[in-house]
Amino acid sequence: MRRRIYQLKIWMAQTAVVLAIVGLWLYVTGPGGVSPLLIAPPGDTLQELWQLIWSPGTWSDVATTGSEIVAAVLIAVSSGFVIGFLGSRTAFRLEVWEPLVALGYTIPFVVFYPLLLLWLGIDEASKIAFGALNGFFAMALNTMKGFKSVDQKLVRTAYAFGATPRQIEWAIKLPAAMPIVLSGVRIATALALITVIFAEMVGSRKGLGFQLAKTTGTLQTSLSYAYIIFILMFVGILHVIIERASSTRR
Amino acid sequence: MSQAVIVDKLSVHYTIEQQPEPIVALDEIDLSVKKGELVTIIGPSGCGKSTLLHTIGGLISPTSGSIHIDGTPLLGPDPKRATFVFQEYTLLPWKNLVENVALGLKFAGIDRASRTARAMEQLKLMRLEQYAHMHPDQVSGGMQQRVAVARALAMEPQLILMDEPFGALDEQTRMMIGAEISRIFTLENRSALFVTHSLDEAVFLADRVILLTTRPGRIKEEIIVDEPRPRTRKFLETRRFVDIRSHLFASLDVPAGDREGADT
Amino acid sequence: MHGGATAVTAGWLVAAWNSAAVHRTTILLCTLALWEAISRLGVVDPIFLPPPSTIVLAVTEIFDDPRAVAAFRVTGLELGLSFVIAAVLGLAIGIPLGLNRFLRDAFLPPILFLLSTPKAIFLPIFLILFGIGVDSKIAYGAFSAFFYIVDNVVGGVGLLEAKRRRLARAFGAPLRHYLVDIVIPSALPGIFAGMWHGLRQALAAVLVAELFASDSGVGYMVRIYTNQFRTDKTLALVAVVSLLVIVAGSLFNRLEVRMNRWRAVAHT
Repeated sequence: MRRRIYQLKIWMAQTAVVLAIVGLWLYVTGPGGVSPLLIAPPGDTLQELWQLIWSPGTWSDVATTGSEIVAAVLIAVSSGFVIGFLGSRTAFRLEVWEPLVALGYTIPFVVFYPLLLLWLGIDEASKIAFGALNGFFAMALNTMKGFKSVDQKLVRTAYAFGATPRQIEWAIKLPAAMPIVLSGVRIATALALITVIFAEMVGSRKGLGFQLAKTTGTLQTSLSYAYIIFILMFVGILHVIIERASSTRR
Repeated sequence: MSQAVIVDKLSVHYTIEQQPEPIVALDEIDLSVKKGELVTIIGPSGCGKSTLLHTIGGLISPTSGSIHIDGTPLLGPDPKRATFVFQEYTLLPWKNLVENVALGLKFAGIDRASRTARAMEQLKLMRLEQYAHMHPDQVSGGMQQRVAVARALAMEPQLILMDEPFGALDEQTRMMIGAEISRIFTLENRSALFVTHSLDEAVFLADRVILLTTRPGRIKEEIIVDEPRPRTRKFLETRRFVDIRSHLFASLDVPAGDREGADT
Repeated sequence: MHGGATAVTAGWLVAAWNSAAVHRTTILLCTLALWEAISRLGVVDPIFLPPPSTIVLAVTEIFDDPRAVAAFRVTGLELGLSFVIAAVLGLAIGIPLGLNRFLRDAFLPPILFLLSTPKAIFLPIFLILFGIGVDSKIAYGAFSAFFYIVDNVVGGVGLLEAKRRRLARAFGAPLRHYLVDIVIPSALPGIFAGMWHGLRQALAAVLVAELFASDSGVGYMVRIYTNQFRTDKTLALVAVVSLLVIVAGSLFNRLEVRMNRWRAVAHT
């Protein structure tokens, strides 16, 4: 009972903040007199969002962006896992490779995008490469950390019970490393998603990011706001899917 | 002798989720400590002795009853009237020993020069002045707890509340610090309530031992330890000490097989 | 004599071979050499991928270009201001959230959701409101870094043990002393991690905003150089920024070790 009241209070506090934001939004765009070009009124935004959801063009943009993200994630996760796996076979290899990968992880790769555009053109390839590049290092680093964290007592016990080296790799070390490897998958996915959408905003001819940038450039502010909300929903759904997929094994 | 603290019909009840009946941790406790008196509280584990101490110090609000220190009611934590020494020393590792001793004075708004001087005095009393500028992790557990005692004494409170303060120390160190406390508290005429689960400690330090029962927490017995303070280790070997200790042990009435909580 | 010298040389070689640092350096040098070779031999067009030696030369060239020097100054200013704003707001909101369970339960989940979203989609709002100049970069940088700082500060304050809270209550700590003497020192590891992540995030955000739409700054220069097919200069900018980040990172680590020394001592 007390717990339910507490939950209710939390819900009320959250609602209060949301209402305050919406209220402020309504006020500045209404009586506040801020131009609808600067801040889109909530009503217009919702109307645009409604039209967006029912327009077939939107869903082709969703398909474009979605497939780019999936491709980027697949490349980042598989290549990151392979490099991370190979780089963590011995303690010495880890000592050599982990700092290198960590170094790569600190480089702000966002500034590479104009170059990728130049190299790979304005279509999907540059977005996929950009997303994969940004996700790769997180995946490789987490794979290494995962294998590094495997308890050596576990490995020794397995040897003592006569496990073959192959069994040790796949039946002992991999499952033990899995939680950190999976968190690498989540981070890599989040990074690939962020960078693909950003890449579309900077240079492309289709996709949700492109539409957002275009509406901003042409000062269709309410449509621009509608795209922001639409992308937030799109990302929210993707997060739920990833969360489900990467936590089933625990 | 006047009373330092008067506790009148103090009760504390807890309610727990999914349990309709409240738990009676303390049931109408009457208790008083005279000026300069050292009273120890002992009882089986879970009897609410720590709850009693925390309530008297204002950290827990009582369900009913009252606490008066020096004639005025205590309604919340007030370090100038009642100061704690906790079981975990809880020294701040980023401050050196003088700064730790001066912590309560700093909170009270006393300027740096005078609070440092007062803290140094307390460290001298504890014979720790040469360690004043070391950090807690550089000194032993026994020294850390002496610093925590000095931190309480620096407040010059009417009552010191000690919650199993030496529980984490080994027996040797514990008796040594006990003798030290006996000396200083007598010298400074301090009043204290001291919770412990060690019978030896309870009898050795106390002018009076209070025995608590488990759920509901009630006072079962009070025993006067009529031996002048400060005491030395010789007291441990006297007939009187052994008699009081055996009496208390019998009174604790711990069922066989569950004695580890009562004696260490 | 001769045999002894050989043994010494061999011993030194074995030691070198067994050193991870030597391996790492060798790998880096080989990568650079391979890059240099494929670019010089024309396996890839040097206009698209100039060799490392050309990029090193380009670094000296961009420092002669007053526009590029000004760009670093602009980006530095944007980064500094956005970081300071994010840090102040992050502490002002993170500490209460860390101390109060109700506030945390109510408002941390939405903050964590925003932390995980692509913040670039909010760029249009900032650009439309604050214009194409430095203001929008500062606001967007602060916005992006804020979530990282709050998350880490809340985590750091969460490390405050119950016994220290009780100590503060028992000794009557006024709010100001409670924060300065107990809460903040306890939370220092989290605050430090938050500041570092926040700084990195602010830099990434400022660069992102400059790449998207700007009239000055490093991201703007990257666009200019790339449009002029001066890939060498683009990569030179990338190299300088990366180097600065790496240097800042090691400085931050050292500072953190210094400030947390008592903690390290306590754990050994």
